[in-house]
Amino acid sequence: MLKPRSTFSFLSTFIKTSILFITVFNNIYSADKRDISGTIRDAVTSETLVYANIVIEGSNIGATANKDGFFVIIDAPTKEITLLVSYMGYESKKIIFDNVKATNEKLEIELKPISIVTEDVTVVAEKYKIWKVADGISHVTLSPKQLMILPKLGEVDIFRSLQLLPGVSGVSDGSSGLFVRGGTPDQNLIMLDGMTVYHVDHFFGFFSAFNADAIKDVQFYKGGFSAQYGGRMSSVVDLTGKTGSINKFKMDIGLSSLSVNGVAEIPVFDKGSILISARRSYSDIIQTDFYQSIYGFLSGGSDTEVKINGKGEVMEQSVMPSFFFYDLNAKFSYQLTDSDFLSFSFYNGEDNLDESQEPKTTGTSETSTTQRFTNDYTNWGNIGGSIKWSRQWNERFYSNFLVSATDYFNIRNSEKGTTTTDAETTSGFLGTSSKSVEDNSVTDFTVRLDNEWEMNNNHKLKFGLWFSDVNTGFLMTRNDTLTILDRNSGSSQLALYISDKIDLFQNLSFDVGGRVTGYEGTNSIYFEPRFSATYSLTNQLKLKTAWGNYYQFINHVTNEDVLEGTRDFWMVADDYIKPGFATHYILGTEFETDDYLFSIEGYHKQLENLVEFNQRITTIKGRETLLPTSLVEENFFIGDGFSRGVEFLIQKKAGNFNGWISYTLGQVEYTFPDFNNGEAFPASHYRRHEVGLVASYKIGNWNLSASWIYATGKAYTAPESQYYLTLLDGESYGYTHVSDKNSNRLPDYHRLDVSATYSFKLKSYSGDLGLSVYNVYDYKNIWYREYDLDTTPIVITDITMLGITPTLFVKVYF
Amino acid sequence: MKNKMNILKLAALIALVFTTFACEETITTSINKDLVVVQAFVYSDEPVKDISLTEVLPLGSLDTIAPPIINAEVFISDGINKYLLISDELRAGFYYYPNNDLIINSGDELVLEINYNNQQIVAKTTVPPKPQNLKLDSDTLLIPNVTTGIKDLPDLDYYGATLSWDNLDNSYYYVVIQNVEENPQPIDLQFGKFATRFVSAPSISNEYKLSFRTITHLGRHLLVLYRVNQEYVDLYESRDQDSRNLNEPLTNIENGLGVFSAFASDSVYFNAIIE
Repeated sequence: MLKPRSTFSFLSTFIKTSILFITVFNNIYSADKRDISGTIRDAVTSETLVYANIVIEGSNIGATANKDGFFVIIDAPTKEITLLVSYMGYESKKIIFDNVKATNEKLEIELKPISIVTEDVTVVAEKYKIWKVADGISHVTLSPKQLMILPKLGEVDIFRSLQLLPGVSGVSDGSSGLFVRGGTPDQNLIMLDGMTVYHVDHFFGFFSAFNADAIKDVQFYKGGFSAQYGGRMSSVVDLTGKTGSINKFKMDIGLSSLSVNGVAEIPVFDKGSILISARRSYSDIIQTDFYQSIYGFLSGGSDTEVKINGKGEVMEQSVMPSFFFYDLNAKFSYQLTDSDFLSFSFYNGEDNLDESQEPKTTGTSETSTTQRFTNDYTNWGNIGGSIKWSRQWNERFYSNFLVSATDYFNIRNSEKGTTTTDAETTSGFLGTSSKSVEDNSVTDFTVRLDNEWEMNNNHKLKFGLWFSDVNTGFLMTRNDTLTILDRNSGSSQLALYISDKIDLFQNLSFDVGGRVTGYEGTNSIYFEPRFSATYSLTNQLKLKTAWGNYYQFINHVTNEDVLEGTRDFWMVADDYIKPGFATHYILGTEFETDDYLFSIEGYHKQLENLVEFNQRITTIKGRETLLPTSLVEENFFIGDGFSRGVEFLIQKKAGNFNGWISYTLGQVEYTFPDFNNGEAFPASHYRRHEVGLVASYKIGNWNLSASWIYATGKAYTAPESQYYLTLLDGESYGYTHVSDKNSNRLPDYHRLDVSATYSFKLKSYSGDLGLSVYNVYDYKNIWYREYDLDTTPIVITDITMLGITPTLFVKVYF
Repeated sequence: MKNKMNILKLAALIALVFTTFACEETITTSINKDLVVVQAFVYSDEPVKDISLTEVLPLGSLDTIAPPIINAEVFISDGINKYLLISDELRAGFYYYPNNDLIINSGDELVLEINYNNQQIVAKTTVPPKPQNLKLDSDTLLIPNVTTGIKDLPDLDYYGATLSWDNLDNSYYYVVIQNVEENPQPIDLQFGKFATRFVSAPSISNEYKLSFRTITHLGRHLLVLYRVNQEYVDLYESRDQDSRNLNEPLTNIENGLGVFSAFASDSVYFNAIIE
């Protein structure tokens, strides 16, 4: 068992040794050139601007600010130079700097945020960029500030904005998180200020679990990410929370017809701040009144009776669930010294989803009425906190040390049954009933130490270690008395990593590194080499590539449910359910002008140790027939697969009219020896074609935008027919036959959203107000399909996503 | 002018998308009409006549009898020859071999091939060896004379006769007990409605005890012991479907459902009389 005390002791020794070595190294290698260092901040709030860029004009020499906004330009020429500083959502700045006479004093650079209400629209180069590609492959930087102009459900949403990018499925269909290049949401590492978040969205994936007003930077790696990130197989979303204004009190309040949110920034002791942000939707309340009447009017009824082949009778219906969510972020930040920064973060978010259906009359007689009811409640959320200490040891060496704890829960209670009401006495009694409970939890305690060392112009070293202790629990019961699965497990892991970003010549850079993880659950050590390269053929044309191995020690296990929609639950890996593994191969090219970006990127991911929990499959092991109700361990099935595709992107980056078109052609296939007779089948989230269109137009104080997404329908497994077998003893048995795994497809998904935003500025406050219409043509995209085979006729229910949803919103900044 | 053009572009894009994709798609539910349900049993030293093919029923159907398939092309091959089976006009959905040249022997590796609606369904089985050393410890079964009703029958689970055989390799067997009298007389009037043929569950055993549960009529009985293949055992043990999990019985039919299995047997006779 990896013990925290021994880990801390190791950390302490590791830090001291590293500092000693680096200090000596820096002194040996210091040249007659001079480093330029400093901090880049928001001019209004003094918020540090993480990953802001600074370059020496006319050269390739530059730097990117770190997570504390600190930058260092290595070996800058000792002469008068012009520094060009830029950051998305902010006005770029030129600074003439005399590096001959400069002392060791650090620069304090402030950038003005882009005001949409500026009269002069021709000033800045990065006026309307919402996101941009970074230098590394499959790496995107997103500006939460700029997301305001996109169509939204009442408020800015980071994850739904990411879903508009190529390679990211924009049709999350009720599953949590992002489907990135054919990966599942659990395969993404989502971090908020270094804290791992396990449930990252609210309701259908419409709202991410992160209040965009509390986030200042989003780094998104679609694949091929470097060794500093580990524990996940697909992608990384690294969110940096705001620290809050240290200059003056600020407050934002936003209100829409679906949710309310607010952010308060409180300066503390001149060097610190407290930031509190909160959101709550109230669509559960509105749906019962105003919203429901509009929805019913526009959708025009929901039940349809269909006859199949003139013989089978099926009733089909569509149901839209009601929901509400809230989340709360709080952060205290303080600049202890010029070199030390301390922050405490807290996050709490919760969702409540009600998929219950109105009782339906299934039979009447002179004496009684029988009704069928469905109650289905799901409640899930995260609560967590972190403490982070950052230190700039010297200009070239930076560390941050983080301790975090996260608790995630997900509970679903469902019950289907019939009630019979006596016509005379009107008293009712419960007939048949089927209940199920699924209760999943994750606790995660993590200690991390990350270091960055700018060795010289050619080498930037990152190294560190990562300790985690994760425990999962999953309980699934049926009818209160039958326990299907009751599994509690936990494990620790300790990872060491190192990566070196090497800039060779002027147009070739590599990122080479690796990660070594000791995992207690399997008592094994795992090696993860990583490599990526960028080659600039010209100033505009680049080639990029990446390769790497990625292990995942906690899985979101698919729990197939043909009748009520497949669900998932978290479980740590062990000797039986081994860590997931992926190898990424990525190759791409970019052609970028001042106004346009053209990009083509191909990827292939080889996947191993995919896990599914399935109670439908009967297997044979040796001579023994194993039924689904046999040993619980035998209900876990292991397989492998691959995901591959090509992404095409055309982006108009700037100007009053801008946006992008993306198209992804992909394939995701799994092979489980016990499914489909061992033949490959499409993953349920696999969508062969995905198209994203985003357009934004600014005219005066108005910003008009539209987005349209299209995707091939989701694959699913369904009951499809009935048959009988008569055994030799004369007994006849009837069966429902289920289709081949994921051999059915829901109708294609598509949705158009539009938005009109008006920005205003008054004496002491400014704001935005506008109208967004989600799903303009009210297309009923299906989340999943439910089958109730216990009634006559059987009932097929399409659980749909939101239909046309107009939302008014207003946001005021004090 | 430029602003107006840009607004028009945006509006045109929205309109194009709206008109192209605004129509709702009708949801349809279809079945795989070509799915064949096979219930095929062959017995050593017996003619091939128990090959049954049916279609599946639509989901939600209230019918309990599946439509028979009468126009399939059905073959059985033994690795040397391929024999075409004929659709039985008297039993819809059944196929049989009309000639005498197809002899099912222990050890034969049989392949069932069905061609129907441009698809091929295949199944394989191996005819097991005959049971060895079959013995019934008495060819006369004495039934206690109880005039007060079956409730007074002593030791209801054992009539004192045991069937035994060799089972050194732990194979599966099942027993069929058939009354062969023309007008069988029930042991008790309450047994009158019971069937005169009983089939046991497959089991790994080397003996079977005769009991009142299986002997319900007096007179001459044929007792047949069948040696069973694994595919039938798999089917039998997975025969119950959970209404929520929808687990289906194991099948050895490629591109189809059901079972194709072969049996080998030996038999004895006994007489059941009142004491």
